[in-house]
Amino acid sequence: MKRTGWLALAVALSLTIAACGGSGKGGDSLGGATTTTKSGTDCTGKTLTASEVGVSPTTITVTVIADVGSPLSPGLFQGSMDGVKAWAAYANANGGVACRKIVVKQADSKLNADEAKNAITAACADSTVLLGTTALFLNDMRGAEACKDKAGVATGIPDLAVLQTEPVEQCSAISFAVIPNGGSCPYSGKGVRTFHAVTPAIEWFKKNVSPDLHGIFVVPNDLPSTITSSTSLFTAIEQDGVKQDAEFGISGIATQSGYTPIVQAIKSHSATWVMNGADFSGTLKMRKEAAVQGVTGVKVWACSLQCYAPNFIKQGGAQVEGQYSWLQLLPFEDKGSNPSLDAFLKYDTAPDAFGEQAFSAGLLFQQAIEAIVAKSGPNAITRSALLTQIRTVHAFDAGGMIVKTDVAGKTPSNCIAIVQVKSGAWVRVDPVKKGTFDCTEPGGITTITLDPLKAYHPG
Amino acid sequence: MKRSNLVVALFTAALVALVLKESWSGTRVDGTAILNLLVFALPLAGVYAISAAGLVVVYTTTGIFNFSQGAIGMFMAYVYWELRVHHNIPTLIALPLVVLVAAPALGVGLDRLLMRRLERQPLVIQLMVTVGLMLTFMGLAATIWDQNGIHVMPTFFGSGGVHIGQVILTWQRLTTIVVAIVLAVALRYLLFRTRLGVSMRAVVDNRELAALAGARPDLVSGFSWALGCSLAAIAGILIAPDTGMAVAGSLSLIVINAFVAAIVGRLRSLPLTYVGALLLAVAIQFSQQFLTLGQRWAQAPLALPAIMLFVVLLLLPQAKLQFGRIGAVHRIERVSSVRDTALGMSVLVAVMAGVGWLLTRSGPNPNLNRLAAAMAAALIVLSLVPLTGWAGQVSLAPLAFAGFGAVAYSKWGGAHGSLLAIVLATLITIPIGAIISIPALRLQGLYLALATLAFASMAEYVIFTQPELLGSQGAHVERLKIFGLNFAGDHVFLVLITAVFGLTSVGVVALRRSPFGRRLVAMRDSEAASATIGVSILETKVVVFMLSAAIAGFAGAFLAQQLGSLTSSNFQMLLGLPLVLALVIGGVASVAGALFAGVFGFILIYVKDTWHLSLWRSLEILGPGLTALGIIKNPSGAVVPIGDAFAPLLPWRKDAKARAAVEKARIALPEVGELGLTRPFTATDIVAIERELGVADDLNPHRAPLVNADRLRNAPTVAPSSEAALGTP
Repeated sequence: MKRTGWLALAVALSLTIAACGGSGKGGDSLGGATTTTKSGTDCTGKTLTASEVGVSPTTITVTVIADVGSPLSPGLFQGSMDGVKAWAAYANANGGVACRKIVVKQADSKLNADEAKNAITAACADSTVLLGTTALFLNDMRGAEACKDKAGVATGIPDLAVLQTEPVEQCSAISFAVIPNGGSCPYSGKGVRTFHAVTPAIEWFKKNVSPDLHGIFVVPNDLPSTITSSTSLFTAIEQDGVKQDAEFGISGIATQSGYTPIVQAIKSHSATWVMNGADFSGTLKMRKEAAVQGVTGVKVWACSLQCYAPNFIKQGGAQVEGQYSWLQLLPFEDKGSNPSLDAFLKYDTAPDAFGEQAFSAGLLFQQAIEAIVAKSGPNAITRSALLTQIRTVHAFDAGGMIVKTDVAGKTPSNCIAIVQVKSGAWVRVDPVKKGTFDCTEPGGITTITLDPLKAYHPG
Repeated sequence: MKRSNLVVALFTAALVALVLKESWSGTRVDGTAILNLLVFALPLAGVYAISAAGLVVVYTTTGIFNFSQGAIGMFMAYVYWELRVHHNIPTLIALPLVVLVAAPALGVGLDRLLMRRLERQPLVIQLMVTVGLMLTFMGLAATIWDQNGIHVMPTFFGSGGVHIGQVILTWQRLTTIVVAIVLAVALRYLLFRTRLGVSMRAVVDNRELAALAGARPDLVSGFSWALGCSLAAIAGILIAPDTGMAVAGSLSLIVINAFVAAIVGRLRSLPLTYVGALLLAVAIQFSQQFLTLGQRWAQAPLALPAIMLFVVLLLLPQAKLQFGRIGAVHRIERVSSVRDTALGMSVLVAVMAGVGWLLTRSGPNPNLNRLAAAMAAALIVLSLVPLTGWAGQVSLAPLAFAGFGAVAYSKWGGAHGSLLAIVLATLITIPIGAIISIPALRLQGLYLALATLAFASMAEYVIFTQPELLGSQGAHVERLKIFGLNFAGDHVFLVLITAVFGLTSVGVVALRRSPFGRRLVAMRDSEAASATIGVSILETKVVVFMLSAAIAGFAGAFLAQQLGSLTSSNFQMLLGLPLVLALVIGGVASVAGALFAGVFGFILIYVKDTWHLSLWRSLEILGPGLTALGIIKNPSGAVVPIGDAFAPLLPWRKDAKARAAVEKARIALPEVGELGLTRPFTATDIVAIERELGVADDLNPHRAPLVNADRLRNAPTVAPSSEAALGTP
C-alpha cells in the first residue's frame, strides 16, 4: 500500500510542526490574551443578522477537515475533530461566540487530496471558517482562496490549521497554523528553500546530557514531503552541533527487522544520538530492535511531537524508556496548571496532541471574532473581517496552552517543553515547572537554506 | 541461453553495475559484513518463502493466483492475537487452533463457496475476486479490531537470541528460519511421498485425466486451499511481531514480495521459490546496507520487489501457443450498436448536465467534483475494455498509463489548459504502451498481469518521483481552455468529461464492431486458432496495447484536470487495483461496465456522506470486496442484469427481454466438454450448441425470438450418467 505512505507522512508532518513555532514579540490587538474566559459579548437589544456564509442570527458554522475515515486507517486524525468539537462544546457552554452557538461540521478528507478539495468546496458553501484542518494531502488551495463570501467577493475561506503539509497551504494567504511551519514563503515547491527550524532542545541536550552528541538519523522515504520535512530538521540539528555518523532511509511501513542494519550502525558508531523522522510506530520498532540487539550507549533517543502519543508508551513498554520528545504545547500531565488545558481535557474525552492544537485553533477563532465584535458589533462577522483580524495576531498562546505564536507572521517560536519517558510515564525534564515553556536556550531557531531532496544522502 | 534472455540478462547486469557504481556507500565488504547481511536477510526470506509456498501450492493445484494470501495471513494473525493476548489462551492451544483449525476451515470454506466457481473463468475475474477477498479481509480486520487500539503480538521464546557475528538473531527470527526449512521438507514429502501429494501433482498436470485415474480434484482443491491458508497464517503470525500489526501495512502487503519468490519458482518449484525468497531478502538488505539511494532515487528501494519481479518475468521462457486444450470460458458478450451507444451517451451527458444543475442550485457542491472524478475513473478503465475485455490481455496498470498522460499534460501546456497538451498526453503514452507490449508478446495470462503490476509499481516509485516530472511538491494544472471557452467550473467540466467519455465510448464500440475488434475477440478465444486463420498475434497485441495506452493517456489528461494538482501519490499501483476490480464488477467487456466502475465509487462515498450511519461506514470498507465476490455469480458483470432489467423500459428496446432470454440460453463452446461429466446434458444444451455451431434454424433472434425462447423453456432435461456426473471412473 502506498496508502501506507501516510504513516511516515504523518510523522514527518508532526516533525515539521514541532520543528517550528512562533515567538514574535510585535504588538497585536489580541496580545495573547487568555480566551478561556466566559464570552463577554453583550448583544442585548441588538438584532443579530446572517452577516456571512455560515453565520446566522443564532449560530456560527465551522468546518473541521481531517483524515479520519480512510477505510484502512480509521480515526487517524480523529483527535483534530474531537479537539474542535471540544472547543465548540466549551464555547457553547460559556455563552457561545458573538451571542451565537457554534455548529461544527466534520469533513473527512480520507488521506486523499481530492476529498480534501471537496471538503473545502462544501465548507465554502456553508461554513465561516476552516478550523483545525489536518489533511495530509491537501495540495491545492485554489478553491479555498477563490471561495466567495456572502457578498459574492472571492475573499477566501480562512483556514486555521493544525497541520500544513504542503507548501501551497503553508504559504497560502488565507491559511494560518496555530503552531506555524518554519518554511519560507513563497515557495514554488522545488529547489532551495529557507527553513526556520526549532532546535532549542539541542542546546539543552548538549548542556544537560552530553556536549558532543553524534549519531544516526533516519528519514522516512515514502514520499517527497516526508523526506523534505525530515532532512530540513536533521540538517538544522547537525548545524547546531550533533554530528551525523550516518543517515538511513526507510519506509514508514518497514518491519522491525528492517531496522536491524540501522541498529548495527548505532552499535558500530557507538552513537549517542538517534532520531527517526517516521511516526511513533517507526521509532517504536527501532527502539524494540535496539533493545533486542543490546544497544546501551545511546544518550539521546530524540523525537519531536510525534512520539508524544497515547499509544507510544502503551505499546513500547520498558523498551521505550528514556525516550525524549520536545513539544510546543503543554503536555497533558500538566493538568491543573493551565485553565485552557483544563478546559480542553474536560471537554475532550480522548485527548491527543492534534486535539490540543485543534482546540487552540478554536480559541484563536473565538478570540478573533470577539475582537471583531468588540470593534464593530456582532453583525460585522465576515470572512474578510476575520482574515483582517487574524493577520494582526502576532502573539497567540491559547491562554498559555501552546507556545507564544506569531500566527500572522508564520514564524516559529524558540520555546519548547522537553518530556522524557521515565518509569513508564512522560515526565517533564525542561522546564520542570508545570504549565511553562523554556524560551531561554540561545540559538533556539536555526535558519538553514537547502534543497531538501538534494540534502538527503542515506547510507 | 536464448538471445532474448541474454539481452535481458546483459541489460539487467549493466543496470545493476550502474546502480552499484552510482550508489555505492563505501561500506567495506568483508566476511563480517556478508555474515551480517545473511543474518539480516534469512528471517525475511523465511517469511517470504512460507507465504510464497502457500501461493504456489494453491496455484499449482487450482490455477488461481491468490492476491489475498497476505491479507488472509494478516487476518489469521489477528485471530491468533485475539486468542493469545485478548483471551490469554496459552500458545500451545491458540497456535494449533489458528493454524490447524481456523485457517484450514477458512480455506475449505473459500474453496467450497468461491474458488470452485472460479475455475475456467477468465483470468481477470479470478484475479479480481482474490483482490476483492484481500480488501474484504483488510476491511473486516479494520472493522473488528480498532486500528487505534493496542495490538502487541508476543514473540515466541521471549526476547533473547543467539549471537551470530555482531548480530543477535532472536528466537523469534530463528523460529521463522527453522519453520521455513521444516515446511520446505514437509511440503516436499507431502507432494512426492504421499498419495494426496501425488494426486495434487496429477491434478496440476491434467485435472480431467487425474479424475479418470482416481484422483479427486475437488478434495485436492479443498486441501490445497486449506494448506494455503495455513501457510498464510504461519507467515502472518511469524511476521506480526515485526510489523506493528497495521492492517494495511507490511503484514498484508508481504504478498507482493511473495509474488517475486513464487515467480522465481515459476509457480511450480518450491525449492526455486525458496531461492527466490532468499534472493529478494538479500537484495533488500543489500540495498540498505551498501547503497546510498538518495535524491531522485530515494524511493527506489520501495520498488525493489517490483523491479526484481519484472526482470524475472522477462527472463521467463516465451509462452507457447496453446493447442488442444480449452482455456477460460468467454461468453460472447453482447455488443451495442454504435447508434445505441451514441444515443445512450447523449442521454448520459444530458443527465449529468441536469444533475450538475441541480447540485449547483444551492451553491458550491463537492459532489460535482466527485462525479467528475467518477467520469475520469470511467475513462481510465475504458482503456481496459478493448485490451482486457476483448483481447484478453490482463493489465493491472491502467492508472500508471493514465499517470503518464497526466504528467505529459502537466508538462506540455496543462498549466494553461492547452488542447495541444491533451493531444500530446495521448500520443506520448502510445510508445510506452508499445514498450510494455514487449513482455506481452513473450508472456501470457498471469505472468503478463504480474508484469503490468510490476510496471505500475516501478512507475510509482522510480518514474513519477523524478523531480523533472512533477517536482518534489507536485504540479498544478488548469482545465481546458479552447475557442474562448473555459472549462474551469465544476459543472461545465463535468459535462465536458462526460461528453468526452461518451465520445470515446462510441469510438470503442465502433472499434469492437470493426474487423480489428473481431480479431481481438478471436485472439482472446484462441490465439492458436486465430494464428491459423492468418491473424497476426504479434501485431494485434502490440496495436491493442498501444490503443489501450493511448486511451489511458488521454484519460490521464482529464484526470489531471479534474485533480488540479498532481503528485506521484496520485498514481499508486495499489490505487489502480480497485479500478480494475470495479471494472470487472461492472463488466470488463462493455463500455457500460466502465461507466459502472466510475459511478460505483461515487455512490459509496455519496451514500456515506449523505447518511451518516455507521452501517454505511462499514459498507464503504467492505463494500468493494463483498461486491467483488458477486462477480462469481455473474462473470459478465453487473451491467448485464441491470441492462436486462431496464432495457425493456426504453421505447426503442422493446424486444430486449426476448433478446436477453436468447442470449442467456447461449452456451460457450468450451463448456461443451463439461456436459455429461460435471453438469447435466439437457436438450436445452443441444439447442444452444446448435445455435453456436450455426446449424439451428432460429439463429436470428429478430426473426423468431419468442419461438426460440419458448423452445428453450420447454426443453426436457436428460439426466447425466451417474458416474460421469460424479466425475469418477
